Amino acid sequence: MDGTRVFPIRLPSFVDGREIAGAWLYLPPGFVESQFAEIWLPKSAVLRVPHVEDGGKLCFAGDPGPTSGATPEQRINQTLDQFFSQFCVPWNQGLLDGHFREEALNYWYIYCAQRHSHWDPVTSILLLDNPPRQLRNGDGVYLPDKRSVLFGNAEAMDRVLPVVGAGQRRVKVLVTDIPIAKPLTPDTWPRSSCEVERLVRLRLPSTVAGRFIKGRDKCNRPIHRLVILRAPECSFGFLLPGGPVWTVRHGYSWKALRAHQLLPLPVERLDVAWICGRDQHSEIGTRQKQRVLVVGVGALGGFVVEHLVKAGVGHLTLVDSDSLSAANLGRHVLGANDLGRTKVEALALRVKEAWPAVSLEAVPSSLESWLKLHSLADFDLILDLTGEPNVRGALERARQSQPCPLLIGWLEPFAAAAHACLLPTCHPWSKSVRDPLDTCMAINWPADIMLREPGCSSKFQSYTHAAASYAVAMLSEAALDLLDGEVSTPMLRSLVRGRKFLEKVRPGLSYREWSANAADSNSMIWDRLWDA
Amino acid sequence: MPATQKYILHTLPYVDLVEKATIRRDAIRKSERNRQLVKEALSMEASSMEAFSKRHHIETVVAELHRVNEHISVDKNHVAEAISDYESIGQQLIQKLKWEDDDIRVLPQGSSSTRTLIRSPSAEKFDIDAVCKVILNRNEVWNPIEFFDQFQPALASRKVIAKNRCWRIEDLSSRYYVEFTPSVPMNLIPNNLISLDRQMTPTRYSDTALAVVDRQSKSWKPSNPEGITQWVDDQSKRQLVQMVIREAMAMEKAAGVEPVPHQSVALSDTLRVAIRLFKRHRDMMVDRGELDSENKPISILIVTLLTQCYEGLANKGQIYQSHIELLSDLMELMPYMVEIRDGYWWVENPTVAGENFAERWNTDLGERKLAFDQWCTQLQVDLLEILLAEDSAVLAESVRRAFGTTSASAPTSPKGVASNAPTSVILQPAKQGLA
Repeated sequence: MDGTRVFPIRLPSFVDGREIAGAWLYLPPGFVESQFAEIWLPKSAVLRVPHVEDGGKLCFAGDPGPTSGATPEQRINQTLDQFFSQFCVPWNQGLLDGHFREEALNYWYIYCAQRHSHWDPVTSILLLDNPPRQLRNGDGVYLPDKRSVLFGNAEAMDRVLPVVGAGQRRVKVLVTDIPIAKPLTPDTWPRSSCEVERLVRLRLPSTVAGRFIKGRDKCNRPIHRLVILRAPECSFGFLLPGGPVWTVRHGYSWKALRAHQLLPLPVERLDVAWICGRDQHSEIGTRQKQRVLVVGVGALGGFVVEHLVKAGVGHLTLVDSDSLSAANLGRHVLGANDLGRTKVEALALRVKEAWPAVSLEAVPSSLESWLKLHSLADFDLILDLTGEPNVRGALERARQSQPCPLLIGWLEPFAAAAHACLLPTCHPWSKSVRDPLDTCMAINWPADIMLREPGCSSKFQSYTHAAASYAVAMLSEAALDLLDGEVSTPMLRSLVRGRKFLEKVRPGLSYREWSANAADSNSMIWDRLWDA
Repeated sequence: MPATQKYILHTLPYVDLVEKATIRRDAIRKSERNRQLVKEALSMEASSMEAFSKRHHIETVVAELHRVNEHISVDKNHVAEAISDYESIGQQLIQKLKWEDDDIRVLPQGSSSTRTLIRSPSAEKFDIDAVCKVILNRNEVWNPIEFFDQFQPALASRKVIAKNRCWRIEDLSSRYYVEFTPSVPMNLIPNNLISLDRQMTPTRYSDTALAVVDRQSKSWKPSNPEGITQWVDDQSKRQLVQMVIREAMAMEKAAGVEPVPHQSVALSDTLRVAIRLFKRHRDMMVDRGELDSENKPISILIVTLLTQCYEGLANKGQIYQSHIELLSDLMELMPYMVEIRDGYWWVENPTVAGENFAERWNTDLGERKLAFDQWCTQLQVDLLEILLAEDSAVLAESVRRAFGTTSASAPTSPKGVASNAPTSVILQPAKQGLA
């Protein structure tokens, strides 16, 4: 015993069928100074009564805690009051009945944990896609080293397996994926293989169900079988007994086991709609099909690429001929382990490993030479994050014959301001011969400060990654706006830092007339029509 | 489907339907091999009922089914609350809508009026459906959508959602929705504004026929909620059971200390009990993922098939020895009550001619029909398992499994807990620790 004092609680009378065998007030040894009073219910209440955690602890806001200023007596009284008013009364009135469903995943994890042992061959299922709500059967891949089963459509499997399952043994598993309307609860989830098979028989066409239940492959050898019941917000996995022997490693021991009973399993979704948007952003589906060309993956481009990938963009082509040097490290997404490698190749590798849902093409050459062999018309958006006039010129020329939306993004010295020029298809960067970039500046820069980088014999005006992050966020949002079709007229989005920031990097700087309002703020963002 | 075929009025008496269903049922029992589960349960030499009465104490099953029937009842207080809400909104509509008070009537419809309302297994909200019947003048009937939209300002203080035929009021309670269907007496609608159906409305319910707005097609559609209620009521009064089981009666007496709540139905009302139990069974299958919720059999279809079957049995003069026997026959015959007319699945609305409750079965590549068949098969398997259970533990488990009578869906107490609940600690001087 850890010194916790336990007091039985006299329970009120519950209606038939809702009885609870007992309840205890737990006062841990540090109750007065630091710890909370708890209410515990018997184990029989776990998965029978909502809000009871594995073990029996009731999860509710009872004790106001040692920092509340209440005396221990008041805290105990309040804990008991809350127990009766927030738990006993609503439970008896049936007001908690829907709570199993509301937090279905939580209770499913409790159930899986209850049934889990160190020698379970499978501990999780990774669902690689979120298909339309229809039944499907297919082959999943079991990775013994990870004790996971991966399942998804062919495209998703091809993309993810080389990354997640690199160098690992793979075993075929027969998977049936059944959509269900509502999350399951302890009352409704199947608890035996008979119940799962009954469900399979009811939902699948009889021939397919028959084959699945038989559990044999084409050569009549036993095969591993898995059932996924997929509700809109959470999924439930079941490993069926039978099938070949599993070889399982735990610590330094190995065992060959055969599954004899149904094993409930947590299902983790790895598809983009879930990981990028928790199923709340329908535009992610469109972004998955879009192609973006990023020219320049430096301090801005490297991070913008990551932002786009995390927002669900499906295909990226990165063009940059630069290699990573030590001077870049302070602001670049890549680190010392990539020194000397071309930025695009190192970045593509890094992103692919972390985000298997994106397809990346790295082009370690200049834009001009890439343009000789490729067309801009294949892309839904082009990002020019180089700040270089010759790149702007090359893109401008190419866009005349290959129309495509373009975003030109650049920083002013010290990252004191940043600009994104959003140009929908058919809108040029400049209507005259002159490059209009200088006219957009927010700050009057003295002649000794370099405005263009890289420049000859000029000193680079350094900035922190934190300062550049303002610009990265603004540019990424602007790129997504353009990609989502929310920008129909050309516009210039500008972020300008306040006076305090300016004074810190270089005292005595002055704002241009249009940006003077930023002085009193930390930073300001403007959207202006672009008509250069 | 060609319009001429659709509107052919088939006047097949239900007794013939039942006759056909019985023949088909018996033939299938003998010949069909793919319904193995049912067959296994029915594989005794004698009929299932004989085996059942031989093997089992009938009162145990009656008691269990009685318990399920009680369990799935919506709390009478909640229903009363919902009804009072719907009445007060009805009053609000009567006052705020521009028509004369005498020209508006608000009536219940759906499962609350046929007394087949059941609790959802997952504590979801239940619906109280009402129709708001307005006597329109000749000019107003030409624009059904305008008529429908006129209800919005009258409900403006509420959170309402316009559905295809009704207004759903969402913010009344965490336990129920109230739905109002604007409607007009059928005889006010000129012939050219509504399909041929109206002319063929069966005479026994034509008085109550209504036209409701179908927003999708921007037209009037026939409906007859009062007719359905009346039909179910008329049929359920016909007694088919000769000898009422003594135990069941005694139990009902014991349970009848309190006045019978509006939505609770005694086991002797076998038709309603069948409707309620079967609906609950369907809901449980959907909850367990065994039935696709998109394609599940709709309630009105279950009500219609069972009432048709009951009416046919009554017309045929069938007499049963017990309610269980009747329930078992309803279960077995129900699947065969679905007609095939000119190659299309057909479940006739007895109160609106030409309306086919199974219309969507004919256009969904057979998914709904398949779901219906699977549900019927499983219902038979589960009910037979209950009827033939060897002992009371098996019986209780079968009932729990089929009807989800678990604690998280056990009956509820409106008052919460008893007043003797302790709510404070008696402060005694602590001998150690706290002090």
